[in-house]
This record gives sequence, structure tokens and C-alpha cells, in this order.
Amino acid sequence: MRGAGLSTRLKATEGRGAKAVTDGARWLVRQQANDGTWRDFETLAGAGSEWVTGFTCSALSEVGQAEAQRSRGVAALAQLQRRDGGWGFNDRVPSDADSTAWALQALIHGPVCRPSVLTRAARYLRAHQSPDGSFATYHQSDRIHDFIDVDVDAAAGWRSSHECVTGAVVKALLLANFPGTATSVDLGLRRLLQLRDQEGLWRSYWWTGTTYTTYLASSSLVHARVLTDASLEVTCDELRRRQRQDGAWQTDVAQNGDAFETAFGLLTLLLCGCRSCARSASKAASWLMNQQLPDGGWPSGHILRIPPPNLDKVEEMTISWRLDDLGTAVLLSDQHRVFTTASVVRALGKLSSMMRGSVPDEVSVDMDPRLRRPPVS
Amino acid sequence: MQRRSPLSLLIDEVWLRSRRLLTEHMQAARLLLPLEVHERTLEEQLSAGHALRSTLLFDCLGSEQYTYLTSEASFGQLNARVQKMLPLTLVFGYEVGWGLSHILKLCPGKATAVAEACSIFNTGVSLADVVIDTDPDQRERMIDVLNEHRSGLNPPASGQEPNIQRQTSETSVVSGLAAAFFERLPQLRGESAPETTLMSWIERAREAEAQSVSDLRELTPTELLEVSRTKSVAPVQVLYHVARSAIDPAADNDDLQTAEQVVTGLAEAMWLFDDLCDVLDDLRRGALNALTVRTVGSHPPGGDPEKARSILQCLLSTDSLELMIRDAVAALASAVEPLTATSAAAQELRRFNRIVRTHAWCWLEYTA
Repeated sequence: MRGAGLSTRLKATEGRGAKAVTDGARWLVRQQANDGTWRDFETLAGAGSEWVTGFTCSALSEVGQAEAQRSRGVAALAQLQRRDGGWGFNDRVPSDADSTAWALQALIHGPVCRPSVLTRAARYLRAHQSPDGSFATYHQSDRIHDFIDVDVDAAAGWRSSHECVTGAVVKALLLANFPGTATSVDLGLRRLLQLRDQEGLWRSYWWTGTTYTTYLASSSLVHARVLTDASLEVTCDELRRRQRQDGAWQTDVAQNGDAFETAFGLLTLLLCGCRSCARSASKAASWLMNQQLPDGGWPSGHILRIPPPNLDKVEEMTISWRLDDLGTAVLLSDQHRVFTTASVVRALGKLSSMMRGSVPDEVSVDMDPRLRRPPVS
Repeated sequence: MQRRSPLSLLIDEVWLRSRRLLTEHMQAARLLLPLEVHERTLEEQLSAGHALRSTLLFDCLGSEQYTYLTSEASFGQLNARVQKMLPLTLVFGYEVGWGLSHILKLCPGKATAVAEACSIFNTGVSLADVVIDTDPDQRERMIDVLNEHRSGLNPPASGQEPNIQRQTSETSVVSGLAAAFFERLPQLRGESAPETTLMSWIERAREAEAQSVSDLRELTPTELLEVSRTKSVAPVQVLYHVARSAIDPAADNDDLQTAEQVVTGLAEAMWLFDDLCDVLDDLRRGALNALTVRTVGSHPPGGDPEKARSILQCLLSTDSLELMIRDAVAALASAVEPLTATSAAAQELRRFNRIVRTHAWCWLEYTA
């Protein structure tokens, strides 16, 4: 028998938002492979596994459910670390900084693993930092050109630094808080501030939308306490301006709203918490909950972009993107819906913990007065 | 010239050996739960912890502080770790309070009140500890907050706020929890409440927190160990004395002895487990750690790789690691021993036993 008070408290948190998160987490549990990994994004190199597992474990840590399954995923990741200290798209593809950043984000939530697993991961990540502070997906020593069977120069685009990878790596290194990474993190944070566009958002190389990178960059800057309230408000104002009437965010390829894009838009607004953001967050959460499928997952969209490996700037793409095709110059949906569902579970889980499991209509009441952070030095 | 082992290998070896020995000794003492029982209990505890966060913590802090605490803005770089720890900290305090109330045969209403007060206290102390240990910018302010609440030992009159500037920050969250805790105390007290003992343990907990980050160079090894021990033991003793303050005068002496055995063992175990699991991190940060003191007889400053190397080599070449593990496991065994009763009436005690063992395993699993 539990304490009567505890039973009452458990009942009080059984709101609609909490149920959506629970159903989503249960759906994710059902997708976990026997080896503890999750798989998504079918490509010529096979389905993504290590990267997807890091991302999914990191999302599950937000909701406080499926802890046993998350632990198995983390244990699988620790076993899959390469000799170079990194992780890759899957066990066939060379290690990369983005997959390693997500693996690290999963590992820092425990269960604990051997200390050298983490320090080697951090060392691998630091080797991908450019002198300007940004991070590249691949370093020449990863030999991605050999894997895709092209000349070294023909993979220069994938070896260039990009905002989305920089955001993921800086956040991972910052939260891991290792000895010896402070300089690297400071440099990365400074670069993230420079990479913000005039509208206050961050662009993506590997993603069709902007909210994923915007969330990673702005949350890293918030953790580090180097983003002023005014700067964050500029970002959130622009996100709100782009939000559709129904609460969703769209991309060029998902013009009716996209769950992945909306999840990261919501996460970014939750960093601010002003009254306007609260209203927008409420609409976004409501839209997301309405999109949940009866099985507990969320529908996928064309969220991932695989540019030709020589292309550094996606704006300079001269040929058309193909949808859900193999090879490069393609826009891929997460066919198994794991990536999108993990993103939404993370966003609604965060909202649910901040708003005590309430339904979105109650959000604006609970988030007021505005959230104030300590002054930025 | 002989090649030296890389520091990273020494770190791994200490980490692996300490976990292997802890697991072996816990297994031998029958303290490890079957995996499926551990996982199910942990899931229940996390679920209850999240519920306590959304309800009890919110009630204590109000909308603004609660939203700040649960957001990504709080605790800076430690945000992810604090968010992960928060539900477990809340529920551990609650369950210790609830379990002790059951041993002391408190009525359900009082048991719930005790459990909630313990949950609040445990969370406040843990959050204060995080700030004091890791955030030099807020350390002084946090110690000021704790000092302000010394006057809260006699609860402030209604509307009389402590002098700490009211603003949303880690320190104001802890201040809010301290205020909520002290507001609840008068409702718990029975006629024979050992009020002074509770207050003296609260004061010792506060003193130890402040002392652990002061200049420790002049202290003897015995004094260093006492500071380290009090910092961990005093908060657990506070939980016990919160429960004890709610008993009626006719309380059974045997019940008191049972509760004291549980608390003494639990407090000692938490201290030793914590320092065993944190030794590498503490070595890096130069934080006070019982295992280091027991091994080299001093408290070395952090950031010196050569000193760290020599301490790690000492840990591997002496039996100090195993001796401390034996002490830790013996303390935990002593805590759960009275909770192994088999009668139907003791179902709640067996549940408490299972929960303590689950949390003990979590100390190993989730501590860096």
C-alpha cells in the first residue's frame, strides 16, 4: 500500500498531456530491437541505429518512463563505441560527430559507464572542431570518402562545419561537463552566437527545417547562461511569427505542419516561458496531441536531408531533391516514425513536467508570470 | 625507464574495481534485488517521484519557482543531471519518511505529513549541495540562504520573509523549500516532540555543508572524515527526527530502537556509497571525499594530475577501497535487517526494504 497522499498525487498528474507522453513512450518501447537499439531512416548504408538510439534514449530520459528500456539502450550504446571513441549512423558507417554527440547526451543520463567511454567520446568530438569553434560531421580521419567510395575532395561538404552539428556537439559537451573541454565549449558557444541568422534562428544542413538547430543552439546558450533574455525573445518572436494558426510549424516539404518541426519549436519556446510563448506553446502542444496516432506514435515527415557529399551549402543545390529515395540529394522521412515520436515525446514530456501533466489549455495560466533566469554576465 | 600507466587507465581500473567489489559484496549480503524486481520498483519510484514533483514541489514553490526549476534554464550545465535526479530525490525522502512513520506506528494522516516534510527536506538539501559543490558563483549566496533559515528554525512569523533577495534562481528555490519545510514542522509535533534534537541535526547539516567547502587544510584526517560524514549523515538523521517529532508520548521503545537502527545504517551507507561512487569526480574537483582521506590521510586539492595518479595508485595497491566497501555494505545490511519481517502485518516494512535496496543500487547506477 502506498501512502494515501502519494496515491492522490499520482492521480492528480494523470492529465491529457501526461497520457500522450506515456502512450508515446510505450510506443517507443515496442519499437526497441532485441539488442537494445532503435532503428530508423532507411538508406543505402542500411537503417540508422547508433545515432537513432542515442537520440531516442536522450528523449526518453526526459519523461521518466521506460527506464529499463532506456538503460538497455544506453548499455548497448556503450558496447558499440568504436576504437576512435565515436559512434556512427549505424555499425557499418564510420563514426561521426553528430551520432557521437547524441550518444554522449544519452550516456550522461546514466546508468553510468566506464569513465573512459565518456572521455574518449569527448576527445573524438573535440577533433571535429574547426578553429572558428564550429563542428563538422566528419573529419578526414573518419574516412567517410572511402566508405562512400569517392575522392577525398568529393566528400568536402560532409567534412565542413555546420550549425546543426555544432549545436548538438556543444550541448553534449556542455552537459557532460568533462575536465578539459571548457575551452572547446566556450569556443563553440561563441561560434553559435555568431551563426545565428538575422531573424534570430539557426539554419540546418542535415535537416529540412530550422527548429531542431534553433533549439540545440539556444538551449546550449541558455545552459551556459550566455544568451540574454532579449536575444532569446528575438528567437522566440520569429518562431511565433512562423507558427501556423493551428499551432504547428511547417517546412518547405511539409506545408501542412510537421510533428518533428513542431516538437523542436515547442522545446525552444519552453526555454523562454514568457506569456506569449506560453500561448504559442499551448497551441503547439495541442496540435501535437491531435496528431498522435492510435498506436501512440506520431506520423513522420521528410525531415532529414542527405546533401551530395561535396555540397557545403545546401542553398547552392542546383538539382532537385528526391523524396524517400536511396543515395544522396534526397529528403528522407523516418519511415519507422521513431525519430519523430522520440522528438514529440521529449517536447511533450518537458512541457508535462513543467506544467504538471496538465492539458495545454491550462498551460498559459501555469506559465505566467514569466520565467526569469539569472542575469547573464 | 619504466612506462607509466595512462591516467585514464588508472581511472577506469578504480571505477571497475569499486563497482565489481560493491556488486560482489552486495550480492554476498543478499542486498541485490532480482533484476525484474529492481526494474519494476524503480519504475514505480520514478512514477511517484514525478507525481511528487508535479504536486508537492509545486505546492511548495509556486508557479514561478517551479517553472524555473523544471525548465532547461536552471542549474546551468548541470541541468540534465538535476532534472534526472529530482524525482528520485523527492521520492527517496518521501519513502524514508513514510517507512519510518510506519515503524513508529504513526496514523496515516501524520505519516503522509511526515513523508512530505521529509521529501521537501531531502530535495532542498540535495539541491543546496549541488550548488555548493559545483557552482562557485552561487556558493556564497546559497550558504547565506542556509544561514538565513537558521532563524527559520523557529518558523518565521506569517509574512516575514527571510532577507534573501526574492528572485528566481537556484538559491531562491532552495529558500522556498526551506520555508515550506519549516512551515510544516509545527503541524507534525506531538507533545513529546524532541524538538531540540531535530533542530540540532538541522544545524549540523547546515554547518557541514558550509564547512565542506571551507579551508580544510588545517584539519586532521579524523576531523576531515567527521566533516565528510556529517554532511551525509546529518540530513538522514533530520528525516528520522522529523518522523520522531510526530510520535505520541506512549510510543513503543522497541519501535524507536528499530527506527534508529534503520536510520543509522542508512545514513552511514549513504555517506560511504556516495563517496565511493563520487571518488573520481571529487578527486578531479578537489572535493572532500572519505575514501581519499582514508587512503592517503589528507584532503588533496583538485586539478593536479600527478597527485591524482598517486592517489589512484594507492587506491589500487592498498585495501582501503575494499575496506570502505565492506563498511558501506555492512551499514546497508544493518539498515534493512529490521525490515525483513515476514508476518502479514509487516508488508509495509518489506516494501520499505525493497525500496531502500532499489535506491542503493541507483546510487551506483546514476552517480558519476
